[in-house]
Amino acid sequence: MYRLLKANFFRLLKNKIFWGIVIITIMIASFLVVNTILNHQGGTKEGIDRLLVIYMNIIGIFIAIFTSLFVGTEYSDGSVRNKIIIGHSRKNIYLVNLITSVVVGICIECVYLLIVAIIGIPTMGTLQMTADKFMFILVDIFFIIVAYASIFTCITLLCSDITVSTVTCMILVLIMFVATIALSSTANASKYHETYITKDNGEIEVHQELNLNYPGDFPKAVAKTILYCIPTGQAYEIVSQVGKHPLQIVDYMSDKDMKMASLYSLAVIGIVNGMGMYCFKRKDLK
Amino acid sequence: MEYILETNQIEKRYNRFKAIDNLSIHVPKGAIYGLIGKNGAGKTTLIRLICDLQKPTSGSYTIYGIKNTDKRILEARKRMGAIIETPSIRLEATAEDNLKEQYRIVGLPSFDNLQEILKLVGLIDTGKKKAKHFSLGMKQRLGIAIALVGNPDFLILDEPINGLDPEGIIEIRELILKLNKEKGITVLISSHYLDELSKIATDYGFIEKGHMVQEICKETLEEKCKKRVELEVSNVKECVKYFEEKQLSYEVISDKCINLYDEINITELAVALSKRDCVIDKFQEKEESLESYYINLMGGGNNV
Repeated sequence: MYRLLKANFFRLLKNKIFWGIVIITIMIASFLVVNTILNHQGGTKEGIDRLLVIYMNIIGIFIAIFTSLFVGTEYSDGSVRNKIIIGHSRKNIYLVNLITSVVVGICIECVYLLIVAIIGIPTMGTLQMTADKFMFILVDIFFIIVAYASIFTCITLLCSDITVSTVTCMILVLIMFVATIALSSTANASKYHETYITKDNGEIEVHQELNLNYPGDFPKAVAKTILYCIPTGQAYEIVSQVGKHPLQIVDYMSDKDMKMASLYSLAVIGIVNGMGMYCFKRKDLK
Repeated sequence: MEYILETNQIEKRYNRFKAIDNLSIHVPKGAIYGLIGKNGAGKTTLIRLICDLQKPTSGSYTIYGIKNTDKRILEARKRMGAIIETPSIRLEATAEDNLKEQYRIVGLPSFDNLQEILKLVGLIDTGKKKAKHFSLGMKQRLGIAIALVGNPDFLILDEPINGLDPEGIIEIRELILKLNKEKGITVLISSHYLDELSKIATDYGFIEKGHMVQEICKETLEEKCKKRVELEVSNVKECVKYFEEKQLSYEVISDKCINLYDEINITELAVALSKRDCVIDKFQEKEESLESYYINLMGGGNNV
Protein backbone atom coordinates (compact mmCIF):
# COMPACT_ATOMS: atom_id res chain seq x y z
CA MET A 1 0.00 0.00 0.00
CA TYR A 2 2.90 2.32 0.77
CA ARG A 3 4.11 1.97 -2.83
CA LEU A 4 0.70 2.94 -4.20
CA LEU A 5 0.48 5.89 -1.82
CA LYS A 6 3.93 7.06 -2.86
CA ALA A 7 2.98 6.81 -6.55
CA ASN A 8 -0.28 8.69 -5.93
CA PHE A 9 1.38 11.52 -4.04
CA PHE A 10 4.02 11.98 -6.75
CA ARG A 11 1.17 12.17 -9.24
CA LEU A 12 -0.65 14.60 -6.97
CA LEU A 13 2.29 17.01 -6.91
CA LYS A 14 2.05 17.33 -10.70
CA ASN A 15 -1.74 17.40 -10.78
CA LYS A 16 -3.20 20.60 -12.24
CA ILE A 17 -6.64 20.06 -10.69
CA PHE A 18 -5.15 19.85 -7.20
CA TRP A 19 -3.12 23.04 -7.63
CA GLY A 20 -6.07 24.77 -9.25
CA ILE A 21 -8.24 23.99 -6.22
CA VAL A 22 -5.49 25.22 -3.87
CA ILE A 23 -5.28 28.53 -5.77
CA ILE A 24 -9.07 28.95 -5.79
CA THR A 25 -9.11 28.24 -2.02
CA ILE A 26 -6.47 30.92 -1.41
CA MET A 27 -8.52 33.37 -3.47
CA ILE A 28 -11.75 32.53 -1.61
CA ALA A 29 -10.07 32.84 1.81
CA SER A 30 -8.47 36.18 0.92
CA PHE A 31 -11.68 37.55 -0.52
CA LEU A 32 -13.80 36.52 2.49
CA VAL A 33 -11.39 38.02 5.03
CA VAL A 34 -10.92 41.28 3.16
CA ASN A 35 -14.66 41.56 2.54
CA THR A 36 -15.45 40.97 6.23
CA ILE A 37 -12.86 43.57 7.29
CA LEU A 38 -14.27 46.15 4.89
CA ASN A 39 -17.87 45.48 6.01
CA HIS A 40 -17.02 45.95 9.68
CA GLN A 41 -14.77 48.98 9.41
CA GLY A 42 -15.57 51.24 12.32
CA GLY A 43 -18.16 48.86 13.66
CA THR A 44 -18.07 46.15 16.34
CA LYS A 45 -15.47 43.48 16.15
CA GLU A 46 -17.09 40.18 15.19
CA GLY A 47 -14.03 37.98 15.49
CA ILE A 48 -13.00 35.38 12.99
CA ASP A 49 -15.01 32.44 14.35
CA ARG A 50 -17.55 32.20 11.53
CA LEU A 51 -14.95 33.02 8.91
CA LEU A 52 -12.81 30.10 10.05
CA VAL A 53 -15.57 27.54 9.61
CA ILE A 54 -17.56 28.92 6.68
CA TYR A 55 -15.38 27.12 4.10
CA MET A 56 -16.92 23.84 5.33
CA ASN A 57 -20.04 24.78 3.39
CA ILE A 58 -18.31 24.52 0.03
CA ILE A 59 -15.41 22.14 0.60
CA GLY A 60 -17.60 19.28 -0.63
CA ILE A 61 -17.70 20.77 -4.13
CA PHE A 62 -13.90 20.83 -4.34
CA ILE A 63 -13.51 17.31 -2.96
CA ALA A 64 -16.11 16.09 -5.50
CA ILE A 65 -14.27 17.78 -8.40
CA PHE A 66 -10.87 16.54 -7.30
CA THR A 67 -11.87 12.95 -6.49
CA SER A 68 -13.96 12.38 -9.60
CA LEU A 69 -11.25 13.75 -11.90
CA PHE A 70 -8.15 12.41 -10.13
CA VAL A 71 -9.48 8.93 -9.40
CA GLY A 72 -11.48 8.93 -12.64
CA THR A 73 -8.24 9.46 -14.57
CA GLU A 74 -6.94 6.27 -12.95
CA TYR A 75 -9.63 4.45 -14.89
CA SER A 76 -9.37 6.36 -18.13
CA ASP A 77 -5.60 5.95 -18.47
CA GLY A 78 -5.66 2.32 -17.33
CA SER A 79 -3.77 2.80 -14.04
CA VAL A 80 -6.33 0.82 -12.00
CA ARG A 81 -6.01 -2.05 -14.49
CA ASN A 82 -2.24 -1.81 -14.40
CA LYS A 83 -2.12 -1.96 -10.61
CA ILE A 84 -4.36 -5.03 -10.43
CA ILE A 85 -2.40 -6.85 -13.15
CA ILE A 86 0.86 -6.52 -11.25
CA GLY A 87 -0.64 -7.85 -8.03
CA HIS A 88 -1.99 -4.94 -5.98
CA SER A 89 -5.15 -5.88 -4.11
CA ARG A 90 -8.37 -4.05 -4.88
CA LYS A 91 -8.76 -3.21 -1.19
CA ASN A 92 -5.41 -1.38 -1.22
CA ILE A 93 -6.23 0.44 -4.46
CA TYR A 94 -9.53 1.59 -2.92
CA LEU A 95 -7.95 2.69 0.35
CA VAL A 96 -5.09 4.55 -1.33
CA ASN A 97 -7.49 6.57 -3.46
CA LEU A 98 -9.61 7.31 -0.40
CA ILE A 99 -6.55 8.43 1.59
CA THR A 100 -5.43 10.65 -1.31
CA SER A 101 -8.83 12.35 -1.42
CA VAL A 102 -8.84 12.83 2.36
CA VAL A 103 -5.32 14.29 2.30
CA VAL A 104 -6.32 16.72 -0.45
CA GLY A 105 -9.41 17.73 1.56
CA ILE A 106 -7.30 18.33 4.66
CA CYS A 107 -4.70 20.23 2.62
CA ILE A 108 -7.18 22.69 1.14
CA GLU A 109 -8.91 23.14 4.53
CA CYS A 110 -5.52 23.88 6.12
CA VAL A 111 -4.65 26.33 3.34
CA TYR A 112 -7.95 28.11 3.98
CA LEU A 113 -7.48 28.23 7.77
CA LEU A 114 -3.93 29.46 7.34
CA ILE A 115 -4.88 32.32 5.01
CA VAL A 116 -7.78 33.37 7.26
CA ALA A 117 -5.54 33.21 10.34
CA ILE A 118 -2.66 35.11 8.73
CA ILE A 119 -4.81 37.95 7.41
CA GLY A 120 -7.73 37.75 9.85
CA ILE A 121 -6.16 37.46 13.33
CA PRO A 122 -4.06 40.70 13.14
CA THR A 123 -7.03 42.68 11.83
CA MET A 124 -10.08 41.03 13.43
CA GLY A 125 -8.69 39.55 16.59
CA THR A 126 -8.56 35.98 17.82
CA LEU A 127 -11.28 33.40 18.44
CA GLN A 128 -14.30 34.31 20.51
CA MET A 129 -15.39 30.72 21.06
CA THR A 130 -13.57 28.54 23.56
CA ALA A 131 -10.53 26.61 22.41
CA ASP A 132 -12.33 23.47 23.52
CA LYS A 133 -15.25 24.12 21.17
CA PHE A 134 -12.92 25.03 18.32
CA MET A 135 -11.10 21.73 18.76
CA PHE A 136 -14.39 19.84 18.51
CA ILE A 137 -15.26 21.76 15.36
CA LEU A 138 -11.87 20.87 13.86
CA VAL A 139 -12.54 17.19 14.62
CA ASP A 140 -15.98 17.53 13.01
CA ILE A 141 -14.42 19.18 9.94
CA PHE A 142 -11.95 16.30 9.67
CA PHE A 143 -14.72 13.70 9.71
CA ILE A 144 -16.85 15.71 7.28
CA ILE A 145 -13.89 15.74 4.87
CA VAL A 146 -13.45 11.96 5.28
CA ALA A 147 -17.20 11.46 4.72
CA TYR A 148 -17.11 13.55 1.52
CA ALA A 149 -13.99 11.73 0.29
CA SER A 150 -15.60 8.36 1.07
CA ILE A 151 -18.78 9.14 -0.86
CA PHE A 152 -16.98 10.47 -3.94
CA THR A 153 -14.25 7.78 -3.94
CA CYS A 154 -16.98 5.15 -3.77
CA ILE A 155 -18.89 6.65 -6.71
CA THR A 156 -15.77 7.14 -8.82
CA LEU A 157 -14.36 3.67 -8.25
CA LEU A 158 -17.67 1.97 -8.93
CA CYS A 159 -18.26 4.00 -12.07
CA SER A 160 -15.55 3.26 -14.66
CA ASP A 161 -16.43 6.19 -16.92
CA ILE A 162 -14.77 9.46 -15.84
CA THR A 163 -17.51 11.63 -17.41
CA VAL A 164 -20.32 9.70 -15.75
CA SER A 165 -18.59 9.68 -12.36
CA THR A 166 -17.80 13.42 -12.50
CA VAL A 167 -21.36 14.33 -13.44
CA THR A 168 -22.74 11.95 -10.78
CA CYS A 169 -20.53 13.49 -8.07
CA MET A 170 -21.54 17.02 -9.02
CA ILE A 171 -25.23 16.14 -9.12
CA LEU A 172 -24.91 14.45 -5.73
CA VAL A 173 -23.33 17.58 -4.22
CA LEU A 174 -26.21 19.58 -5.61
CA ILE A 175 -28.75 17.12 -4.18
CA MET A 176 -27.01 17.34 -0.79
CA PHE A 177 -27.25 21.14 -0.85
CA VAL A 178 -30.93 21.04 -1.81
CA ALA A 179 -31.65 18.40 0.86
CA THR A 180 -29.86 20.55 3.45
CA ILE A 181 -31.96 23.60 2.60
CA ALA A 182 -35.15 21.52 2.54
CA LEU A 183 -34.45 19.81 5.87
CA SER A 184 -32.95 22.72 7.77
CA SER A 185 -36.23 24.62 8.26
CA THR A 186 -37.85 21.52 9.86
CA ALA A 187 -34.74 20.49 11.76
CA ASN A 188 -34.07 23.95 13.19
CA ALA A 189 -37.62 25.03 13.97
CA SER A 190 -38.29 26.35 17.49
CA LYS A 191 -41.45 25.74 19.48
CA TYR A 192 -41.72 29.42 20.27
CA HIS A 193 -41.12 32.68 18.51
CA GLU A 194 -39.59 35.38 20.63
CA THR A 195 -40.24 39.03 19.94
CA TYR A 196 -38.22 41.83 21.48
CA ILE A 197 -39.82 45.16 22.20
CA THR A 198 -37.71 48.12 23.25
CA LYS A 199 -39.55 50.25 25.79
CA ASP A 200 -39.39 54.03 26.02
CA ASN A 201 -36.92 53.76 28.91
CA GLY A 202 -34.60 51.58 26.79
CA GLU A 203 -35.43 48.27 28.47
CA ILE A 204 -35.98 45.28 26.23
CA GLU A 205 -39.11 43.24 26.85
CA VAL A 206 -39.19 39.64 25.63
CA HIS A 207 -42.45 38.11 24.44
CA GLN A 208 -42.74 34.38 23.69
CA GLU A 209 -45.33 33.21 21.19
CA LEU A 210 -46.12 29.68 20.09
CA ASN A 211 -44.74 28.84 16.64
CA LEU A 212 -47.77 27.71 14.64
CA ASN A 213 -45.54 26.17 11.97
CA TYR A 214 -43.65 23.99 14.43
CA PRO A 215 -43.48 20.53 12.75
CA GLY A 216 -43.59 18.51 16.00
CA ASP A 217 -40.86 16.83 18.05
CA PHE A 218 -40.65 13.58 16.06
CA PRO A 219 -40.46 15.08 12.52
CA LYS A 220 -37.93 17.56 13.86
CA ALA A 221 -35.77 14.77 15.34
CA VAL A 222 -35.92 12.78 12.08
CA ALA A 223 -35.02 15.83 9.99
CA LYS A 224 -32.13 16.65 12.34
CA THR A 225 -30.77 13.10 12.21
CA ILE A 226 -30.88 13.07 8.39
CA LEU A 227 -29.32 16.52 8.30
CA TYR A 228 -26.45 15.39 10.56
CA CYS A 229 -25.87 12.35 8.35
CA ILE A 230 -25.41 14.50 5.25
CA PRO A 231 -21.92 16.10 5.32
CA THR A 232 -23.36 19.25 3.73
CA GLY A 233 -26.10 19.38 6.37
CA GLN A 234 -23.71 18.88 9.23
CA ALA A 235 -21.39 21.58 7.88
CA TYR A 236 -24.34 23.97 7.45
CA GLU A 237 -25.45 23.37 11.05
CA ILE A 238 -22.00 23.97 12.49
CA VAL A 239 -21.38 27.11 10.42
CA SER A 240 -24.86 28.46 11.32
CA GLN A 241 -24.37 27.71 15.01
CA VAL A 242 -20.97 29.41 15.11
CA GLY A 243 -22.25 32.45 13.27
CA LYS A 244 -25.53 32.68 15.17
CA HIS A 245 -26.44 36.06 16.66
CA PRO A 246 -26.94 35.85 20.45
CA LEU A 247 -30.55 37.03 20.12
CA GLN A 248 -31.36 34.71 17.19
CA ILE A 249 -33.83 31.97 18.21
CA VAL A 250 -33.10 29.17 15.80
CA ASP A 251 -32.45 25.67 17.04
CA TYR A 252 -29.14 24.98 15.24
CA MET A 253 -26.79 22.21 16.29
CA SER A 254 -26.19 22.43 20.04
CA ASP A 255 -22.73 22.33 21.58
CA LYS A 256 -23.56 18.86 22.87
CA ASP A 257 -24.57 17.68 19.39
CA MET A 258 -21.43 19.21 17.98
CA LYS A 259 -19.40 16.88 20.16
CA MET A 260 -21.42 13.95 18.83
CA ALA A 261 -21.49 15.05 15.17
CA SER A 262 -18.37 13.04 14.34
CA LEU A 263 -20.27 9.87 15.22
CA TYR A 264 -22.78 10.57 12.44
CA SER A 265 -19.93 11.12 9.99
CA LEU A 266 -18.25 7.94 11.23
CA ALA A 267 -21.42 5.97 10.52
CA VAL A 268 -21.57 7.40 6.98
CA ILE A 269 -17.84 6.69 6.46
CA GLY A 270 -18.22 3.10 7.69
CA ILE A 271 -21.30 2.29 5.61
CA VAL A 272 -20.12 3.97 2.38
CA ASN A 273 -16.62 2.51 2.48
CA GLY A 274 -17.79 -0.95 3.51
CA MET A 275 -20.29 -1.03 0.67
CA GLY A 276 -17.85 0.59 -1.78
CA MET A 277 -15.05 -1.84 -1.05
CA TYR A 278 -17.40 -4.83 -1.24
CA CYS A 279 -18.72 -3.78 -4.66
CA PHE A 280 -15.29 -2.74 -6.00
CA LYS A 281 -13.84 -6.16 -5.10
CA ARG A 282 -16.54 -7.82 -7.19
CA LYS A 283 -16.63 -5.33 -10.03
CA ASP A 284 -15.82 -6.58 -13.52
CA LEU A 285 -13.20 -4.23 -14.92
CA LYS A 286 -12.40 -3.69 -18.57
CA MET B 1 6.28 -29.70 -19.70
CA GLU B 2 6.38 -26.66 -17.41
CA TYR B 3 3.45 -24.31 -17.90
CA ILE B 4 3.41 -20.65 -16.92
CA LEU B 5 -0.36 -20.46 -17.28
CA GLU B 6 -2.97 -23.19 -17.12
CA THR B 7 -6.71 -22.88 -16.89
CA ASN B 8 -8.98 -25.61 -15.73
CA GLN B 9 -12.51 -25.63 -17.17
CA ILE B 10 -12.79 -21.92 -16.64
CA GLU B 11 -16.15 -20.28 -17.25
CA LYS B 12 -17.37 -16.68 -17.34
CA ARG B 13 -21.01 -15.71 -17.62
CA TYR B 14 -22.59 -12.28 -18.01
CA ASN B 15 -26.13 -12.97 -16.87
CA ARG B 16 -27.21 -15.70 -19.30
CA PHE B 17 -24.46 -15.13 -21.84
CA LYS B 18 -21.52 -17.52 -21.60
CA ALA B 19 -18.44 -15.57 -22.71
CA ILE B 20 -16.01 -18.30 -21.68
CA ASP B 21 -17.22 -21.87 -21.72
CA ASN B 22 -15.18 -24.56 -19.89
CA LEU B 23 -12.00 -23.32 -21.48
CA SER B 24 -8.63 -24.92 -20.86
CA ILE B 25 -5.40 -23.35 -22.02
CA HIS B 26 -1.79 -24.37 -21.45
CA VAL B 27 0.95 -21.79 -22.02
CA PRO B 28 4.39 -23.46 -21.90
CA LYS B 29 7.34 -21.68 -20.32
CA GLY B 30 9.41 -19.77 -22.88
CA ALA B 31 6.72 -19.92 -25.56
CA ILE B 32 5.14 -17.23 -27.70
CA TYR B 33 1.58 -18.43 -27.47
CA GLY B 34 -0.77 -17.12 -30.13
CA LEU B 35 -4.39 -16.93 -29.08
CA ILE B 36 -6.53 -16.97 -32.21
CA GLY B 37 -10.24 -16.43 -32.54
CA LYS B 38 -12.72 -14.22 -34.33
CA ASN B 39 -14.39 -11.13 -32.81
CA GLY B 40 -16.37 -12.04 -29.71
CA ALA B 41 -14.73 -15.45 -29.41
CA GLY B 42 -13.67 -14.65 -25.84
CA LYS B 43 -9.97 -13.83 -26.22
CA THR B 44 -10.06 -10.53 -24.33
CA THR B 45 -12.43 -11.91 -21.69
CA LEU B 46 -10.02 -14.79 -21.07
CA ILE B 47 -7.13 -12.32 -20.72
CA ARG B 48 -9.19 -10.18 -18.32
CA LEU B 49 -9.85 -13.24 -16.17
CA ILE B 50 -6.18 -14.20 -16.11
CA CYS B 51 -5.24 -10.63 -15.16
CA ASP B 52 -7.82 -10.62 -12.32
CA LEU B 53 -9.77 -7.76 -13.84
CA GLN B 54 -12.77 -10.07 -13.75
CA LYS B 55 -13.57 -13.13 -11.67
CA PRO B 56 -14.40 -16.47 -13.28
CA THR B 57 -17.95 -17.72 -12.69
CA SER B 58 -16.54 -21.20 -12.21
CA GLY B 59 -13.32 -23.10 -12.80
CA SER B 60 -9.82 -22.00 -11.91
CA TYR B 61 -6.45 -21.12 -13.35
CA THR B 62 -2.85 -21.24 -12.20
CA ILE B 63 -0.03 -18.82 -12.85
CA TYR B 64 3.44 -20.26 -12.18
CA GLY B 65 1.61 -23.19 -10.60
CA ILE B 66 -0.23 -21.00 -8.07
CA LYS B 67 -4.01 -21.28 -8.11
CA ASN B 68 -6.05 -18.09 -8.53
CA THR B 69 -7.78 -18.63 -5.17
CA ASP B 70 -4.43 -18.90 -3.35
CA LYS B 71 -3.34 -15.68 -1.61
CA ARG B 72 0.16 -16.11 -3.08
CA ILE B 73 -1.29 -15.35 -6.51
CA LEU B 74 -0.67 -11.63 -5.81
CA GLU B 75 3.06 -12.41 -5.56
CA ALA B 76 2.91 -14.43 -8.79
CA ARG B 77 1.26 -11.49 -10.55
CA LYS B 78 4.29 -9.34 -9.77
CA ARG B 79 6.14 -11.50 -12.28
CA MET B 80 3.80 -10.66 -15.13
CA GLY B 81 2.94 -7.67 -17.26
CA ALA B 82 0.07 -7.06 -19.64
CA ILE B 83 -1.44 -4.75 -22.20
CA ILE B 84 -5.16 -5.23 -22.64
CA GLU B 85 -6.70 -3.56 -25.70
CA THR B 86 -5.12 -0.12 -25.21
CA PRO B 87 -1.81 0.49 -23.42
CA SER B 88 -2.10 1.93 -19.89
CA ILE B 89 -0.21 5.16 -20.31
CA ARG B 90 -0.51 8.69 -18.97
CA LEU B 91 -0.87 10.83 -22.07
CA GLU B 92 0.15 14.07 -20.35
CA ALA B 93 3.48 12.59 -19.21
CA THR B 94 6.69 11.75 -21.07
CA ALA B 95 7.82 8.19 -21.71
CA GLU B 96 10.35 8.49 -18.88
CA ASP B 97 7.76 9.86 -16.41
CA ASN B 98 5.35 7.08 -17.33
CA LEU B 99 8.04 4.52 -16.56
CA LYS B 100 9.02 6.27 -13.32
CA GLU B 101 5.45 6.06 -12.09
CA GLN B 102 5.36 2.36 -12.88
CA TYR B 103 8.65 1.93 -10.97
CA ARG B 104 6.97 3.50 -7.92
CA ILE B 105 3.85 1.33 -8.29
CA VAL B 106 5.95 -1.81 -8.63
CA GLY B 107 8.01 -0.62 -5.64
CA LEU B 108 11.48 -0.62 -7.16
CA PRO B 109 13.96 1.33 -5.04
CA SER B 110 15.66 3.11 -7.95
CA PHE B 111 15.22 3.86 -11.63
CA ASP B 112 18.32 1.82 -12.47
CA ASN B 113 17.43 0.09 -15.74
CA LEU B 114 14.89 2.67 -16.89
CA GLN B 115 17.07 3.84 -19.77
CA GLU B 116 17.74 0.24 -20.72
CA ILE B 117 14.00 -0.44 -21.05
CA LEU B 118 13.49 2.72 -23.10
CA LYS B 119 16.34 1.64 -25.36
CA LEU B 120 14.91 -1.86 -25.67
CA VAL B 121 11.57 -0.54 -26.92
CA GLY B 122 13.18 2.14 -29.06
CA LEU B 123 11.93 5.18 -27.12
CA ILE B 124 15.26 6.40 -25.76
CA ASP B 125 15.23 9.53 -27.92
CA THR B 126 11.73 10.78 -27.09
CA GLY B 127 13.04 13.25 -24.48
CA LYS B 128 10.37 15.65 -23.21
CA LYS B 129 7.81 14.70 -25.85
CA LYS B 130 4.52 13.91 -24.15
CA ALA B 131 2.90 10.52 -24.79
CA LYS B 132 -0.14 12.21 -26.33
CA HIS B 133 2.06 13.26 -29.24
CA PHE B 134 3.34 9.70 -29.81
CA SER B 135 2.33 7.63 -32.83
CA LEU B 136 0.15 4.58 -32.22
CA GLY B 137 3.20 2.31 -32.55
CA MET B 138 5.17 4.40 -30.06
CA LYS B 139 2.28 4.28 -27.59
CA GLN B 140 2.10 0.53 -27.98
CA ARG B 141 5.84 0.24 -27.37
CA LEU B 142 5.55 2.50 -24.34
CA GLY B 143 2.78 0.22 -23.06
CA ILE B 144 5.11 -2.75 -23.47
CA ALA B 145 7.90 -0.81 -21.71
CA ILE B 146 5.57 -0.16 -18.75
CA ALA B 147 4.64 -3.84 -18.68
CA LEU B 148 8.35 -4.69 -18.63
CA VAL B 149 9.09 -2.73 -15.43
CA GLY B 150 9.88 -5.19 -12.67
CA ASN B 151 11.41 -7.74 -15.09
CA PRO B 152 8.36 -9.94 -15.67
CA ASP B 153 8.77 -13.49 -17.01
CA PHE B 154 5.32 -13.50 -18.52
CA LEU B 155 3.87 -10.89 -20.84
CA ILE B 156 0.26 -10.79 -22.02
CA LEU B 157 -0.46 -8.72 -25.11
CA ASP B 158 -4.01 -8.31 -26.32
CA GLU B 159 -4.16 -7.30 -29.98
CA PRO B 160 -0.82 -5.42 -29.82
CA ILE B 161 -0.66 -4.66 -33.54
CA ASN B 162 -4.22 -3.46 -34.02
CA GLY B 163 -4.27 -0.25 -36.01
CA LEU B 164 -0.52 -0.15 -36.59
CA ASP B 165 1.05 0.64 -39.94
CA PRO B 166 3.34 -1.99 -41.57
CA GLU B 167 6.42 -0.39 -40.02
CA GLY B 168 4.81 -0.41 -36.57
CA ILE B 169 3.83 -4.05 -36.99
CA ILE B 170 7.41 -4.99 -37.83
CA GLU B 171 8.72 -3.01 -34.82
CA ILE B 172 6.35 -4.78 -32.43
CA ARG B 173 7.12 -8.17 -33.97
CA GLU B 174 10.87 -7.60 -33.63
CA LEU B 175 10.39 -6.43 -30.06
CA ILE B 176 8.36 -9.48 -29.05
CA LEU B 177 10.92 -11.80 -30.61
CA LYS B 178 13.75 -9.95 -28.87
CA LEU B 179 12.00 -10.17 -25.50
CA ASN B 180 11.37 -13.87 -25.97
CA LYS B 181 14.81 -14.80 -27.27
CA GLU B 182 17.04 -12.45 -25.26
CA LYS B 183 15.11 -12.10 -22.01
CA GLY B 184 13.40 -15.49 -22.01
CA ILE B 185 9.99 -13.88 -21.49
CA THR B 186 6.96 -16.07 -22.15
CA VAL B 187 4.43 -14.17 -24.26
CA LEU B 188 0.70 -14.77 -24.61
CA ILE B 189 -0.47 -12.78 -27.59
CA SER B 190 -3.95 -12.50 -29.04
CA SER B 191 -4.33 -11.25 -32.57
CA HIS B 192 -6.47 -11.22 -35.67
CA TYR B 193 -3.42 -10.93 -37.88
CA LEU B 194 -2.84 -14.64 -38.43
CA ASP B 195 -0.12 -14.17 -40.98
CA GLU B 196 1.77 -11.90 -38.59
CA LEU B 197 1.20 -14.29 -35.69
CA SER B 198 2.52 -17.22 -37.72
CA LYS B 199 5.86 -15.39 -37.98
CA ILE B 200 6.48 -15.36 -34.24
CA ALA B 201 4.28 -17.86 -32.39
CA THR B 202 5.67 -21.14 -31.13
CA ASP B 203 2.30 -22.39 -29.87
CA TYR B 204 -1.28 -21.70 -30.87
CA GLY B 205 -4.66 -21.83 -29.21
CA PHE B 206 -7.76 -21.64 -31.41
CA ILE B 207 -10.75 -20.29 -29.54
CA GLU B 208 -14.36 -20.17 -30.70
CA LYS B 209 -17.48 -19.12 -28.75
CA GLY B 210 -15.52 -19.09 -25.50
CA HIS B 211 -14.31 -22.63 -26.01
CA MET B 212 -10.81 -23.86 -26.82
CA VAL B 213 -11.11 -25.72 -30.12
CA GLN B 214 -7.51 -26.79 -30.38
CA GLU B 215 -4.08 -26.18 -28.89
CA ILE B 216 -1.22 -26.97 -31.15
CA CYS B 217 2.53 -26.35 -31.24
CA LYS B 218 4.30 -24.79 -34.22
CA GLU B 219 5.97 -28.04 -35.28
CA THR B 220 2.72 -30.00 -35.39
CA LEU B 221 0.99 -27.17 -37.19
CA GLU B 222 3.76 -26.98 -39.77
CA GLU B 223 3.48 -30.72 -40.23
CA LYS B 224 -0.24 -30.39 -40.83
CA CYS B 225 0.13 -27.41 -43.12
CA LYS B 226 3.04 -28.59 -45.21
CA LYS B 227 2.81 -29.06 -49.00
CA ARG B 228 1.18 -32.35 -49.94
CA VAL B 229 -0.60 -34.25 -52.67
CA GLU B 230 -4.04 -35.46 -51.72
CA LEU B 231 -4.92 -38.66 -53.58
CA GLU B 232 -8.23 -40.40 -53.83
CA VAL B 233 -7.53 -43.99 -54.89
CA SER B 234 -9.52 -47.18 -55.45
CA ASN B 235 -7.16 -49.31 -53.33
CA VAL B 236 -5.43 -47.62 -50.42
CA LYS B 237 -3.62 -50.81 -49.29
CA GLU B 238 -1.79 -51.18 -52.60
CA CYS B 239 -1.02 -47.51 -52.63
CA VAL B 240 0.52 -47.75 -49.13
CA LYS B 241 2.61 -50.77 -50.20
CA TYR B 242 3.98 -48.79 -53.15
CA PHE B 243 4.83 -45.76 -50.97
CA GLU B 244 6.55 -48.06 -48.44
CA GLU B 245 8.64 -49.65 -51.20
CA LYS B 246 9.65 -46.22 -52.48
CA GLN B 247 10.18 -44.94 -48.90
CA LEU B 248 7.87 -41.97 -49.42
CA SER B 249 6.31 -39.94 -46.64
CA TYR B 250 2.52 -40.36 -46.53
CA GLU B 251 -0.54 -40.27 -44.26
CA VAL B 252 -3.69 -42.35 -44.67
CA ILE B 253 -6.71 -40.10 -44.21
CA SER B 254 -9.54 -42.56 -44.99
CA ASP B 255 -10.15 -45.83 -46.84
CA LYS B 256 -10.08 -43.86 -50.11
CA CYS B 257 -7.87 -40.91 -49.34
CA ILE B 258 -4.15 -40.69 -48.76
CA ASN B 259 -1.79 -37.72 -48.43
CA LEU B 260 1.65 -37.82 -49.99
CA TYR B 261 4.23 -35.38 -48.66
CA ASP B 262 7.16 -36.16 -50.99
CA GLU B 263 7.53 -35.08 -54.59
CA ILE B 264 6.79 -37.70 -57.24
CA ASN B 265 6.35 -37.94 -60.99
CA ILE B 266 2.62 -38.27 -61.54
CA THR B 267 2.84 -40.42 -64.72
CA GLU B 268 5.23 -42.81 -63.01
CA LEU B 269 2.89 -43.01 -59.99
CA ALA B 270 -0.22 -43.60 -62.13
CA VAL B 271 1.47 -46.36 -64.13
CA ALA B 272 2.88 -48.06 -61.03
CA LEU B 273 -0.46 -48.02 -59.24
CA SER B 274 -2.41 -49.25 -62.27
CA LYS B 275 -0.09 -52.28 -62.38
CA ARG B 276 -1.30 -52.97 -58.81
CA ASP B 277 -4.99 -52.67 -59.73
CA CYS B 278 -5.24 -49.29 -58.12
CA VAL B 279 -6.75 -46.33 -59.95
CA ILE B 280 -6.24 -42.69 -59.05
CA ASP B 281 -9.71 -41.12 -58.93
CA LYS B 282 -8.67 -37.65 -57.82
CA PHE B 283 -5.36 -35.83 -57.55
CA GLN B 284 -4.97 -32.48 -55.77
CA GLU B 285 -1.92 -30.51 -54.69
CA LYS B 286 -2.44 -28.72 -51.35
CA GLU B 287 -0.55 -26.33 -49.09
CA GLU B 288 -2.10 -24.67 -46.03
CA SER B 289 -1.23 -21.43 -44.30
CA LEU B 290 -2.15 -20.67 -40.69
CA GLU B 291 -5.09 -18.72 -42.07
CA SER B 292 -6.46 -21.56 -44.20
CA TYR B 293 -5.81 -24.02 -41.38
CA TYR B 294 -7.79 -21.78 -39.04
CA ILE B 295 -10.63 -21.39 -41.54
CA ASN B 296 -10.81 -25.15 -42.06
CA LEU B 297 -10.70 -25.77 -38.33
CA MET B 298 -13.50 -23.32 -37.63
CA GLY B 299 -15.48 -24.68 -40.58
CA GLY B 300 -15.82 -21.53 -42.72
CA GLY B 301 -14.42 -18.18 -43.59
CA ASN B 302 -16.94 -15.84 -41.99
CA ASN B 303 -15.69 -13.05 -39.71
CA VAL B 304 -12.04 -14.05 -39.84
